[in-house]
Amino acid sequence: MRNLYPVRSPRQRRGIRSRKGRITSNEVYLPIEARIEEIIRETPEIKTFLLSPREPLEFKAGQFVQLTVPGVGEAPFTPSSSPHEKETLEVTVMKVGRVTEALHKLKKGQKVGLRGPYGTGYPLDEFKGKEILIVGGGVGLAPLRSLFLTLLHDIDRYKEILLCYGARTPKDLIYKKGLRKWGEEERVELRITVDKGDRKWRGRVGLVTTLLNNLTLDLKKSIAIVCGPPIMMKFTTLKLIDLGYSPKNTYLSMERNMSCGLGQCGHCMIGRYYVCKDGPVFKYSQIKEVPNPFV
Amino acid sequence: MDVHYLSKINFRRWVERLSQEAPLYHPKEINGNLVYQKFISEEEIILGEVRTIGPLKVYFFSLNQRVATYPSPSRIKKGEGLRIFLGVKACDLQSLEILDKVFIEGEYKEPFYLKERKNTILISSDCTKPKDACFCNLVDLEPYPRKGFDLNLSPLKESFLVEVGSEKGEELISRFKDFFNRPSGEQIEEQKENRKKTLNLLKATNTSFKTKKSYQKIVKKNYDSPLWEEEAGDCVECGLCTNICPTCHCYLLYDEKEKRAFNRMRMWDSCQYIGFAQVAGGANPRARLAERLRHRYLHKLDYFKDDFGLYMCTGCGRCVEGCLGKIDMREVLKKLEESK
Repeated sequence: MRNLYPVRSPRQRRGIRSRKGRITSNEVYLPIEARIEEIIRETPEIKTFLLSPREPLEFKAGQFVQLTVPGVGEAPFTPSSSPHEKETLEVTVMKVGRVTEALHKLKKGQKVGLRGPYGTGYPLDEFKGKEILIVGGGVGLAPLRSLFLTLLHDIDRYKEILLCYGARTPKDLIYKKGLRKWGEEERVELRITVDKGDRKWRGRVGLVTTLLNNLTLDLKKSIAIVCGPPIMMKFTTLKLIDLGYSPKNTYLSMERNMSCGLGQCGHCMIGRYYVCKDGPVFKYSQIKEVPNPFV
Repeated sequence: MDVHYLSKINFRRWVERLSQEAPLYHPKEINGNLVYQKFISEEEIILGEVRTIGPLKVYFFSLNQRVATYPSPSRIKKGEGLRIFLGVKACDLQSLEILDKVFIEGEYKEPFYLKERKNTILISSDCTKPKDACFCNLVDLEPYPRKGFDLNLSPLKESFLVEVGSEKGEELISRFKDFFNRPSGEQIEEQKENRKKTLNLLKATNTSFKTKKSYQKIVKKNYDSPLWEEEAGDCVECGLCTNICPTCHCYLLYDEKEKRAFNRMRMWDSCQYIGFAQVAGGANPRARLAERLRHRYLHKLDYFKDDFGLYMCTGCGRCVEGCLGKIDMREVLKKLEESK
């Protein structure tokens, strides 16, 4: 298949005219082509797509991209792969709306478009030397996987990682292969729970917040990162605050309606923040005054 | 700032020459309303009076336009080249300053807006007949331009005072030097008097709406006021206030199919619509109309003011004039201040 998308530098992607003046600056809206190299069926509703963009798309863990399903439209996703993988990136997508349903119908070898990355990533410098608590719910583990792999890449910089993950049932757990391996890493503790077990399930049963009941972390030297469905984010964050985490040391990955990704179109605003520009990673201290932060 | 005198007769000659250089748009009366029209004859130009019924933003930020084509990108023409707007009022000049902050001064430059902005010469003029809905004096503005124009015309009896606001403006004068004279002290005095008169008219209209505290303080303080619910009761969610607002700039990107390619379109959107902030999973941070109404006020009068130092409102009163539910921003803010 011929290459359908132009090759552009990051300068050009930001809408800056090339010296030859050939590239038009309307490319702030234009996606670059990416081929679907592999599709992993995580659950009946969730798939991970391994994408190879026509030009490297470098991102920091926590930043997001706008993914185009040609002719259908765009939707925002935070890559779930490590930013150290330069050639490819992965997005883990739950089928919930128009764009994601169309994406789920695509096959290996087909093309999608990517625009970005946008937003702030996780402030890794602030995590140095800390004990890191990561709490994920459902498909919310996707951005946290990217963060976890980033931390793992330079594990000596951090004291310890406790990864807590909850899903509705054992069938809803994603990254099953990865999870097993991660638990064996040094300085990493993994806790998994499901809301409701099945016959084969031998692990913990209970909401993800129950994993936080006997923390051995030194709260003063610890930071927490949360991502998941709204209700899970709410109760997890409140529990963390209850346990003694300061809102400044509690990070949330927010999900919002996004259209432009450029800090202009207004869709993603929560209170005074543009989630696409000021987030999607926020400290709880930043957004706790915002109306309905967890909706 | 340089000031020149322009007689009515020279005004006619000058405008005719200008219109030969580039398309010239000016306010013209149609069915009792002022609208921008391409120049045909000098007689149709209405320079003083008040702002046009629609916002100036439509000429810089299209209601709906193609912004990209993929997979194979094609060059999309940006604007029709140089153009001149004559008779722009202070409120609409301010709206461009506000939109500049969003579309030009941020990390990402909006290419279409930027191009139109660069391609436009702005010749503004003083207001002489503010409407009942006008309230620029309540949002730190005046009914005559102070900045943001290339040239400004103040109507006098049978003549004009011309202020120069930029190099582009200076050029429009120096190239037609013969038309312009030095103003007399009397003429400058007349301009001052006229301006004072208009401002007093405006102040008189808005006496009952004047608040003691700043609008920013009022919306900040009354975040949890039950008044938001009450006011939202009159809203029919038509989106007129945001569409007719010269500063509202929310938009939606969507894709459509055309033969073998796909077009990425950009269309005005409104934060007042229920689905505006809703995510695919169904969660909606502003599901209630009152929350959306409040968000609009907070964005304009609090968040934007904090971020850029100016209100995202020019007091043009178009939303007041057009609202189907008769929601008057001045009244809402006054009520909020008085409620306790």
